Amino acid sequence: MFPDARIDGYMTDCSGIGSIKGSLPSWKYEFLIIGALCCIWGIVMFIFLPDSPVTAKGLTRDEKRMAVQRLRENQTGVENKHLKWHQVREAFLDVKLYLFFLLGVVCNVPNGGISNFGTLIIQGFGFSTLVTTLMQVPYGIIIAISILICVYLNNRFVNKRCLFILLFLVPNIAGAFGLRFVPADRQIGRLMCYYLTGPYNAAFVLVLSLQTANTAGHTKKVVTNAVLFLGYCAGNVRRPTSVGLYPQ
Amino acid sequence: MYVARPALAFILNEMFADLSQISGPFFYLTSQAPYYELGIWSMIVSHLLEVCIISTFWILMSRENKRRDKIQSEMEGGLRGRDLDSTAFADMTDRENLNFRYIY
Repeated sequence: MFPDARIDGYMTDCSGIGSIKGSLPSWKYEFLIIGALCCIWGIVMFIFLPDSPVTAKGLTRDEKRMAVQRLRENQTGVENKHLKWHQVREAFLDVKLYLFFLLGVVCNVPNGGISNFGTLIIQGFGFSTLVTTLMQVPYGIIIAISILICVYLNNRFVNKRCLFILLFLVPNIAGAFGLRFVPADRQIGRLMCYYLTGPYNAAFVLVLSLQTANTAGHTKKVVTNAVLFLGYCAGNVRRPTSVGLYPQ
Repeated sequence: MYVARPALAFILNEMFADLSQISGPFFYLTSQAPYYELGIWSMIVSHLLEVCIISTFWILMSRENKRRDKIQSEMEGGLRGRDLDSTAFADMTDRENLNFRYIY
């Protein structure tokens, strides 16, 4: 879901994208190929992801009943195609909407800078391009493991999402303070501080789930997912020339 | 375009998320290498703001849930006698639907 620099880096090197020698700089090929894969995945999801449990082809009648029962419990309902203006008005009068705006902003300001920053730290070691990219792999693994732990804990405990968000933010804050105050000659220490900022992605996954779980009113899930993918793809085409990392 | 509240929240969240993702790297000035004081402080401040927002959200949602539990327990039938079926698929918002409980 997140076209991360870390996962991109791993895929780029395992698939040899980083070794492409063409008329464009090699980092542009990475954006083109990974971006194209994301678009194709979006089309696959559009075709195969069912709109609601009722229309899902792969479920038996009992499974459909169970899925609908779950909806009955959380009171969020199923798809409804009519635009209701009073719901739009209520949305703008609801303080939660503004809290989620602010969360969207503050959750992504670090994201823009930290992946560029991590590459800078690793480049400071002076390894070859291949090794520099491979050193992003542990970061990706930390992110994957923390997301899995976070989802498992969230499933196990009821109504503890905010607590887990705060818990998973703690390593990030510690890592950020480390990046600010650990001296530049302590390269390994700074690298560890950078890796500590990984669990932050798990917190963000929970923030997204807070948003869906706490608004009721009908939504077309495929449209929402398509908009979500559009938003993330657009947001992740960050200016690669920032922080002097990529040549013009 | 058929859009209702949750989709609206998502779309607007994504717009602001994209704006902030684009703006993030601009805090990292090359003149401040290798510590990038402004950049790292922007990250620290963002996280501390996130902590404040999540804590506010937690308090608001748990209070609202308790308020709803109190109102419904005083109604006929109490909490157990609630008719969940009448509201589950009625396309009501979380504010309209008293059976709705926030997840925090």
